[in-house]
Amino acid sequence: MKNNLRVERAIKNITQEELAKLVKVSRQTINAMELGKYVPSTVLALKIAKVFEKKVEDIFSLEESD
Amino acid sequence: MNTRYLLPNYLKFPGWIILGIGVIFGIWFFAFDEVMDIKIWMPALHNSFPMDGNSGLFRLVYNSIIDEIAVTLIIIGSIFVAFSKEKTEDEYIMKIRLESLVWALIANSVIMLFCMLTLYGMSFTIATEFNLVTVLILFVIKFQIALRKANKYEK
Repeated sequence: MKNNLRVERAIKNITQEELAKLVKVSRQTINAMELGKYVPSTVLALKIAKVFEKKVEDIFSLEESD
Repeated sequence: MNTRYLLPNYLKFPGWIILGIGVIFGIWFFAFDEVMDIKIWMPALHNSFPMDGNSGLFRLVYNSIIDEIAVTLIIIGSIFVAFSKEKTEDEYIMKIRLESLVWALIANSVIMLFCMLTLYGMSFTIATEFNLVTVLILFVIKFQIALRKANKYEK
């Protein structure tokens, strides 16, 4: 699964730490997602979409390997 | 995140101290047991030493307690360290925790298999004493390394 978290974060101008606080996870989790090392749960994906006021599909998308 | 079976975060630090004291007792047992021994009578569920006439169920045995103290402290300490929540215990940490646990179980099984096939007599007895705590120790080490690694990558 791909995501454009880093881009969305840049647009909103918040750090990994701040985003982590907003969705109540550790900064490592945000970092692992941005590096494509971790696929978040549905709950976390929905929370992140809520922070950026977008649909989940606008932030997360399937890859060919999925 | 639902985290049944995990202990509160504040037990982590006491866990390290208990584990440390346990390791000191463990070193004492293996290094100086001959010179500084504390022996007491302990109730035994079952005792089996071919040489003494005290074998059987429900016996009192005169035994060095240093190794009992060491193993008890190491097990309690490493359970506190291994299974206390992280400051932010979230789903990614749970994933790292699970992967480390699987790794530790496999590594421990391989070590035990190796010991079983290559060690005999007292050497095997000593190895099984170590094996009482190796799975927890391996998990603690692997989990700490994995957490450090997850911490490293900066923006």
